[in-house]
Amino acid sequence: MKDKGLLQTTLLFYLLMMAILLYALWNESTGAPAFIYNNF
Amino acid sequence: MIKGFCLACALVVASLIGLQIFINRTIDHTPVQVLRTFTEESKFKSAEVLKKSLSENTLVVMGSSELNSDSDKPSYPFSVFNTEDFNLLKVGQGGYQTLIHAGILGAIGPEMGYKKVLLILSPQWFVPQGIEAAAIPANLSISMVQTAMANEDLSEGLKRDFIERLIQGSQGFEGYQRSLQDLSSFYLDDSNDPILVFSTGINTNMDSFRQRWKLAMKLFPLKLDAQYFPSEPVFQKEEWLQSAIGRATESSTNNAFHIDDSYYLTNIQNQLDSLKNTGQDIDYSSSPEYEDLKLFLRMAKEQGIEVTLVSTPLHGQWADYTGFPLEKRQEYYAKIRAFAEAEDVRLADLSRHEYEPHFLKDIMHMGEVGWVYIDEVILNLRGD
Repeated sequence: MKDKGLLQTTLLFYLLMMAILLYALWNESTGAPAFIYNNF
Repeated sequence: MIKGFCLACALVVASLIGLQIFINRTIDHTPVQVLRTFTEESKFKSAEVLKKSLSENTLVVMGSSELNSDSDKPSYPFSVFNTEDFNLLKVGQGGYQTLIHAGILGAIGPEMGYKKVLLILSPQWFVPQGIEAAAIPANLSISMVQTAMANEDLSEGLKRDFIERLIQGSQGFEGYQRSLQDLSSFYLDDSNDPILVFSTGINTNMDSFRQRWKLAMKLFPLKLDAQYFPSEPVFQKEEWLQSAIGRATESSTNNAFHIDDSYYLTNIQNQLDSLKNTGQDIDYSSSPEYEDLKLFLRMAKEQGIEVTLVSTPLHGQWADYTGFPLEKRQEYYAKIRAFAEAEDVRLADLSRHEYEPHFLKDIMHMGEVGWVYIDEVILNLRGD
């Protein structure tokens, strides 16, 4: 029972931290939009 | 709870190490011949990847949307010159202009064994307002600017002029401007503020990681793990021109402008009448782009890099149709010539080809015939 609780807490923290970290890493923080050049 | 948090931290660290290994392996396993010619935003925004793509025999070719992709065309320079003895590094796609290239050159210059760069100028860069504000943060990464700022070959004056121009040009993008300001304080004002040092380090390292991660995600599905060594074809100008004209003629059958059929169908056919005389007010003779070009030349000069500018023509027939006056076009070409002379920089002037069919494949991008002339420019450059 105690192990299950530890596993759940670890998993929760892991998922939370990974979500925040990956979001911050993937997204540019410069406020720059994708710049689509008008070829025409 | 604390135990769970610590375990989760350890797992996060392990996951990041795993991600780092995945990124490195994917990029390292991509043949460098492919990496050099790959068109992908994250490649152009990663100083590390660009540096890795350079060798003693690599000529850096910079431009914009004409570079996007013509890899199926035999005269496309990135296919022609792609051997270990001589090859090209492609830098640029739609939205890239001189200011972006100045930053990239400032970052990769020290790694360039072959101290030459070819910059293909697009007339459309020289609009009165210059580069669009959004194009700067979108195409020049903070980690690239940081690498340029750390370049010891560049003078403090040049770095200051460059970063001030970036800040001024990227109005409306406060996050980007803040990062630039931090880099300026750190590198130029010798700020020792520990928060600034920490945040600048984190910001630029995260950005560098981000660009390589994004590139790895594009490369991974392609499974490009086999090395290949193409041989360079023998350049025969007249023969190549005739073949190029033949192929291009076959693919431009539905219009009188010698424009590719698909481009004409998608972009022009339905609005042909409404586009007539829409170019009467175009003027490329006065633009902040000329000052940006000077910055680019200073970046090159301070690093001992020889620049060749290529002046490409407008589509003469289309320009006439849209009412862009011939005198105004000539004024722009003359200005580029005068600029090159004043700056003592080599110029490959292809502007005389305005009316040559298939020099451009549409109304502004290099066509099969145009690429043959660019091949010739590159060969002349190599021969020096």
